[in-house]
Amino acid sequence: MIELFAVYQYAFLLCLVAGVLLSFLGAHLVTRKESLQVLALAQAALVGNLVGRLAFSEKLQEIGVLVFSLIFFIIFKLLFIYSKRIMRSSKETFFVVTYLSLISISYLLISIFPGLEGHMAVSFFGDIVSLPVERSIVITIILFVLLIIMLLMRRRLLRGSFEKAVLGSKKIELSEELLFALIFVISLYSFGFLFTVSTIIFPTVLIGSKGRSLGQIITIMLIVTGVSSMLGLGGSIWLERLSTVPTQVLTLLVFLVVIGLVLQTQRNKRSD
Amino acid sequence: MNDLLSVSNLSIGYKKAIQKNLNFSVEEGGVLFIKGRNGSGKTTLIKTLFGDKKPLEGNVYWSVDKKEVAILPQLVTHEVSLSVTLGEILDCFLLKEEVKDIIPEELKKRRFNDASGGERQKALILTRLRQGISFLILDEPFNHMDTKAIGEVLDFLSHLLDEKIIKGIILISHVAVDFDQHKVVEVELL
Repeated sequence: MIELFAVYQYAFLLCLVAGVLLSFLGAHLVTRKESLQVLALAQAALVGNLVGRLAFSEKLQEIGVLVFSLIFFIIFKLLFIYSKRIMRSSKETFFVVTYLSLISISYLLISIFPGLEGHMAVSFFGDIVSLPVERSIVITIILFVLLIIMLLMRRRLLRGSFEKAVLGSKKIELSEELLFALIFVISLYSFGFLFTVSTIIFPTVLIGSKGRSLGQIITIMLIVTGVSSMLGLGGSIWLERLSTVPTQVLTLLVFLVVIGLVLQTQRNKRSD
Repeated sequence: MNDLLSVSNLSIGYKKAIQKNLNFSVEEGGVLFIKGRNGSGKTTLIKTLFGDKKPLEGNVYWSVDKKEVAILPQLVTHEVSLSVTLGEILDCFLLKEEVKDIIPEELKKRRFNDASGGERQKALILTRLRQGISFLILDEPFNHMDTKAIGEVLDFLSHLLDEKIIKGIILISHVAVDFDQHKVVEVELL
């Protein structure tokens, strides 16, 4: 068993970095009230992934998939920015409509090109354990660099999130949006829809407002997400029948619920 | 006294004028209080004064640089999804040296979600006071506040004017204001 864990050492490292980075990204996206938009954009990138697989030969397919995912993500992001200005009152439902439409497009593509079905499953559930070692290392390095950039930009990002959440700012910062898009698309490509969206949304929604300060709650969120991603992976290696991503997502959920209860109890004690 | 802002024969609106023939000025150390019902053109007036919208007629003259003017929009929510303290919020804005310690340390530790309306508004006003800002425009700063909290914020604004941290304020509010020692010019949009 120890040997088996050693084989997956780079996958563990990748899960740790991705968990921390996505949780950090989620703190800003959820605060900016973009959770439903995240769902729709992830589905848009997934359609881009399928189109990329159709458009490119096997040799260029991996790059093609990434490029098309990014293009679809950016097109829909621009659509949402524009639609927010014309449909302010119903933007949340607009994201749901887009999400459902994009799911329909995905399955329509699969019905026309049945060969895409396997790709769709991988794009949704991810396939971390079968990522080649070299690719795991490259993606870990890229995500680590993006994490450093986010940490360096943390004050500016908080300023933007606060202005959007509390004062309703509509200002679009191109560098921030590009950074978010890169993290999002690389994560979708490497870990799939379920892991990416859950890791972005769960931590902030479940415990984000239960800490004493931002410093404390961000530290807890990053540790919990990083550790539960690794534990989920470990659990699925240990018990072969368990699927990796659902195990990771449910481990994260259980940890967050328990920590949320502990933090809430502490808050109640302090206020008594 | 110098006029920081003077407005003459101003008509505002889009295709059609919402308000016509507005005349007023704000002296150094003074407050312009704009009041009016919903749809009377308060926001359009601010946009026109700030230069985001052209006047239909008349003139707006600022003796302070536009870069010295900061706007605080009205709050859209009193709750954020993260446990951020007032101190952490102020830390991420590049504040003037003289206002960095204006809020007591104890209050800086309070979470935005737990702060009272007055405490929250004072912190928000401070976020606008970057280096070089000398004029504030506040949009409905007293919404959902009780009389005590409104008094706290008014005292705070008076302190900023008395200490010459800012030179003037434009206040848009449906709540009557009472600045004891400062010249208040009232403009009612009908």
